[in-house]
Amino acid sequence: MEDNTLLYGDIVFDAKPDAVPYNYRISYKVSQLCLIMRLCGWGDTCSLIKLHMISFALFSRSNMNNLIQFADGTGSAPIVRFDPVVNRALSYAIAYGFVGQQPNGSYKLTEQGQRFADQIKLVKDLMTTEISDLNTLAKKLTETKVKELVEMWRTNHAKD
Amino acid sequence: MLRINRLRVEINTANGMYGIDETFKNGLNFVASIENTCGKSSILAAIYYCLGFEQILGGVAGIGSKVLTSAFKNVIDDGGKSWNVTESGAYLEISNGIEIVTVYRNIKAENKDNRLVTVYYNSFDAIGDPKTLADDFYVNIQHAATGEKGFHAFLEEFLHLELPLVRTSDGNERKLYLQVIFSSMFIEQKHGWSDILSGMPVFGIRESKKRVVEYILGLDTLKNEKERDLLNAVKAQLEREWEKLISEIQRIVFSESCTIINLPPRPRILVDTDYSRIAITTHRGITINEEIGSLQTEYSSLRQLKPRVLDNFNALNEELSETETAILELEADLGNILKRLAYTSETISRLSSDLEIVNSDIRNNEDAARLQKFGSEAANDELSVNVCPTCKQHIQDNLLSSVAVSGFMNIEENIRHLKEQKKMLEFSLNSRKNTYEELQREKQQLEAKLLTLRRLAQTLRSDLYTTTDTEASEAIILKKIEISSRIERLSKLQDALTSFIDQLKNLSDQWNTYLDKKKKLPNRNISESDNEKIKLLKSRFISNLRRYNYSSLSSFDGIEISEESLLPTIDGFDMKFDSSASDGIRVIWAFTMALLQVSIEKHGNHPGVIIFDEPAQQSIVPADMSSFINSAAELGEMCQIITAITLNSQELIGIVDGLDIKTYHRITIMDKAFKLFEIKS
Repeated sequence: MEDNTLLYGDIVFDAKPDAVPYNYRISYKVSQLCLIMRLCGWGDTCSLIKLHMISFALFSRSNMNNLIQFADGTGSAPIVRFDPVVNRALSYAIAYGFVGQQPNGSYKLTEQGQRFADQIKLVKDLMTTEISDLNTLAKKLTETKVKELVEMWRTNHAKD
Repeated sequence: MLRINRLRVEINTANGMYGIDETFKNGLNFVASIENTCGKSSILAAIYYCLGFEQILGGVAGIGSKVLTSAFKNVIDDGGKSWNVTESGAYLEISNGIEIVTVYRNIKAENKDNRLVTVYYNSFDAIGDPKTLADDFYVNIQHAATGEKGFHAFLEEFLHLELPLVRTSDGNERKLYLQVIFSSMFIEQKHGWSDILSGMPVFGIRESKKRVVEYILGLDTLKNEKERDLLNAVKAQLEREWEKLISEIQRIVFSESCTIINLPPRPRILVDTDYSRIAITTHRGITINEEIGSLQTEYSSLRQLKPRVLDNFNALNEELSETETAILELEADLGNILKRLAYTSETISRLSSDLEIVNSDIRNNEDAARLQKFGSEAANDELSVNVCPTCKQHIQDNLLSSVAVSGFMNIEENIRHLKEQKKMLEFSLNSRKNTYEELQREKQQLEAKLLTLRRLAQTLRSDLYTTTDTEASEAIILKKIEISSRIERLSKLQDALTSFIDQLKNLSDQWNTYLDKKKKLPNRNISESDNEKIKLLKSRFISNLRRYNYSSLSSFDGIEISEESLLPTIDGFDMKFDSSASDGIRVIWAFTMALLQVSIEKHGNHPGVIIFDEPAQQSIVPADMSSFINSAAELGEMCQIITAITLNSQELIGIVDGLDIKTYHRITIMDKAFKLFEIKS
């Protein structure tokens, strides 16, 4: 064999912890969901699909613009990515006691959750872009609109 | 100078308003009670709290009303009945010897942050007057010591204290905070009596105890420190100018498609050889003078040519084909550069968008980190991201289902990780931008050259195709114009270089002066007047010790004020090691008083107020207490000393009663400190 001094010692690969994008942090997502219900839900209540829609819209500026235009009635139907992370975060939020499920299946903030969302808003320098986006959207995206969209999916893409 | 005139605590309950309203005088003040646990410390704590010094009580983290007892915030006990506190706050009337202001800080309030302090520019009695101006300030948050609306910045100005900038352990500079200074004169009951200056909150200020003593005594070392800062500014200024000058000359030289060599990039002292080594060379690698010379020969050889086209036909033909080849080469170069430019600008835009993403990631991650804290407050400490809310087992803080080999980063690591990425991106972006600029410059040069050559080719062609013999050769005339203008530009460049070297000489001289001044600063040496002050501090300290019957040492010869730390030592060791517990208290008495005495004699910066909470610690015998009280009373009107004291023995009562009634002011607390002001009707 060739004398290769480089290969004498063992090479050890040490695994390092993985970085987690902020969107997949429990604390961030749970807070985001609480804010969505507080700012955009009628009576702090949102259906699951609405939560998914808004959570996806918060992903980027253009997503948000599409959703706002749709809610205003000027835009076409937006694309929504259903992220399993939202469901998981929702279970955490329920376990922490921030959110409860209504008999009709939609989710409602508990008093504790309301307090939590209000506190985040009060601090002024936490999640500022999210809050300003959600305030622009406000309660314009009604559950009727959401249902309309779901209907559209059903009729337009039934064959897919 | 600071004087505390009056304290009024107001605690609202359903039963009416409880509280205390006491006036303090110049000189010695007693807050006395027969029994302990009557709320004397609460009264003193309220003073600290109003001045925003609660960190002296509770450490750096002890911000806000946390440090106050529950009587301020929760429940008031009145004759066996307890009443819930609805809202509470405290007024403190203070004076700087001339003006009087009243400070209000709320303790418990539904709608007001207790980091907000209201300052009324008048005495307490005049607050009700609508003409009294009032202003809100922030306390104990960032910029409270420096910002325009910072309460401690206000207090600094009001007390005419000029707080120095001091170095912190992380190499930055920070104001010597008021809390730190006042911890040397407000001796608090719990931490204050354990060591000299032990109540000092930790703010990361290097050698904070020494800095405080320096400041109170007004030592020159601080002045030197300031001088050093000034020099640092001079240095930065010189470096900036130097750099500007260098880049300026480089720009001029490059625009003439020349290069300059042997430039000193950083400031240093230059000698003549350094200047003569700075030279400009043209793209052909020769000096300007040589270039001018060769251009002149070319010019005169052109004059010898007959300006008639017909005679030069062959020469013109040859020249045209040469020029055309040169143009082709240059065009190829230019094409290359354009390609690289496009590529670089593409990279720059990609990197910028990456950087934007990382920035927003960092911001959101920082938010997430703070949200963790928030969530746990909102969920009554039940929310912890590492524990599953249902089964209470350990979980990782993420919502991904996959399991990484070595787990996930926690949020702090994640933020660090992103910040490193940001650094890398910024570095890369910067170097790309530099390349881009360089390429731009090159492109401009090439374009200029191309233009000249194309013009030449065109005139050559028109010369070749001309029909009349008499016409003069345009090409030769054009060349003549080009050459003479080039010579002109080059000699201008030569002039620019001369003026550049003059400016550089000037800067080099300034650099020399700066280095000289830096050298002259005393390194650690203490100036003559400082030495005197330290000696006086030592003698006052020892005579105080003697007076208070310090007995752990047979002789006081070994006691020194260390120049290193400005704190007392015995034979080079910390005094605490060799002292009994009660002598430890005497040391604190003696040192605190000595600081005030020296500051009064030598016009130092002591604000002239001292607060002692229960100085009779550790079975101090009444006789020593008596000499302590006497020494405090002797200072008289020059200062204000507030002492909380429990008169639980006949001897102590005797001591206080034995004092001249004019020399002290006594506030006696019976039963409980907070009494009902008025019954709610």
